[in-house]
Amino acid sequence: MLVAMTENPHPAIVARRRRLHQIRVRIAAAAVGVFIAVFSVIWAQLPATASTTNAQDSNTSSASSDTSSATSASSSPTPMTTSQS
Amino acid sequence: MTTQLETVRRFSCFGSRCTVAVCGEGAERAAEEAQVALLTWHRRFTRFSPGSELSQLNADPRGTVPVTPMMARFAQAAVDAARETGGLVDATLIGALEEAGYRRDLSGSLPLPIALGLAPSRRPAAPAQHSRWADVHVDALANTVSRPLGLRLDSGGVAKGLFADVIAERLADFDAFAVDCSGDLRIGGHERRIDVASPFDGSMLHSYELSNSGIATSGIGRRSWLDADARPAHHLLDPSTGRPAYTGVVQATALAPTALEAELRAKCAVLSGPGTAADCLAHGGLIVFDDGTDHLIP
Repeated sequence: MLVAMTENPHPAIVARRRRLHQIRVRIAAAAVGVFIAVFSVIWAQLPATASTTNAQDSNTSSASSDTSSATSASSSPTPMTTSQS
Repeated sequence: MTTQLETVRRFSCFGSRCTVAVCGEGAERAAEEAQVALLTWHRRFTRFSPGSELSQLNADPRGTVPVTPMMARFAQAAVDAARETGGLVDATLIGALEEAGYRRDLSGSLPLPIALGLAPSRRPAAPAQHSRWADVHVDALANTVSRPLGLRLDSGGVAKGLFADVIAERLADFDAFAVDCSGDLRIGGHERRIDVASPFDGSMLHSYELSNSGIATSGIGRRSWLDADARPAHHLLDPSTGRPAYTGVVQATALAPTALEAELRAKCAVLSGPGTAADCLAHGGLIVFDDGTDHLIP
C-alpha cells in the first residue's frame, strides 16, 4: 500500500509538493540575493583587501581636469563652504 | 557696495575639490595659474603615486636628500606642526595609516552614525611615545631633508594648508581672493561668507563673515572605511596607538591667521577630545560632537 502511494501520488499532493518546491527555491534565491547585496556593500568599504596596483592606478585620477570656471558680477564675493575633505 | 567681477575656478585636486576665487584686474589669469600650481603640487606631493616627489623622498636610501624648495618648506611645516601641537599632528604615521587600510585615495565613506556605532570607546589621542618627527631636519638654505632611513612623511592636511597660504601670497595684491584647498581656506580682501558644513548631513551649521583670515575643518566624517577586521577606521590616527582616533569630537573648524595654522588647530581639536578641544581653538571655531551637537567657540 505504501509503495503504491509513493509511485502514484494523488495529483493534489503532486501539485502541493511542486508549490512547496517553488516556495523553497524562491526563499533560497532571495536569501542569496540579500547576502550578495550586503556583502557587496561591505566589500566596497574594505580598502585593505583591495588590489594595491589598482588602488595606485585609480589614485592618479584624483587630480583631474574636471574644472568649472565662471566669472560673475556681484555686490559681494562668492560665498564658500568649509567641510572635512 | 559696488558691483565687481570675480573669477571662480572649481576643480578636483588632493582627492577632493578645490576652489580659487579672485577679484580684480587680471583675475582670470591669476586663478588659472593658481589652479595649475595646485594640480602640480598634488602630483608632486601625493604618497599614492610611486613617481611623486614625496614618494621618491620617502624611498630615498640616503640619510640627507636634496629636495625642491617647496618640499623643504613642507617638511619644515610638518615638523613645526608636530612641535606646536605637542606631537598630536604627526606626519610620520604612514606605516600605521597603511596598516589601518588607507593605502589609496578613498572616494566613498562609511556613514558617520554607523562608524560611530561600531567604534571603540572614546578617549583623547596622545603623542607617540617616540617622537619620530623630531628626527626630521630641514636645511632651508641647502634645500635638503635629513631623516632616519625608513621614516616617511605624509603630506595630508599640512600640505593643503601650506599650499593655500602659498597661493594667498601670490594673490595678495588682488582686491579679494579665496583659496579652498579641500576644506583648508585662506581668505583675502573683502569680507566673504564662509559656511561650515555638518559632518552628518552636509547641512549648514554656522556662517562666518571673514576677511584676511584662514579657516579649516578637520574631522572623521569622510575618508572612513571598515578595516580588514571589519573595524571602523578613518584617516586621523591617535599617534600613541597608531589606530584611528575616536575621541568624542567628530569635526572641528578653526579660525587662524593662516590656513596652515587653522588646519593644525582643527586637527588638534578633533584629536584632543571634548575636554580640551576648545583649548586648541584660540582664534575661535566650531566643535561638533559624536551626538551631533555643536559648540561655537567665539
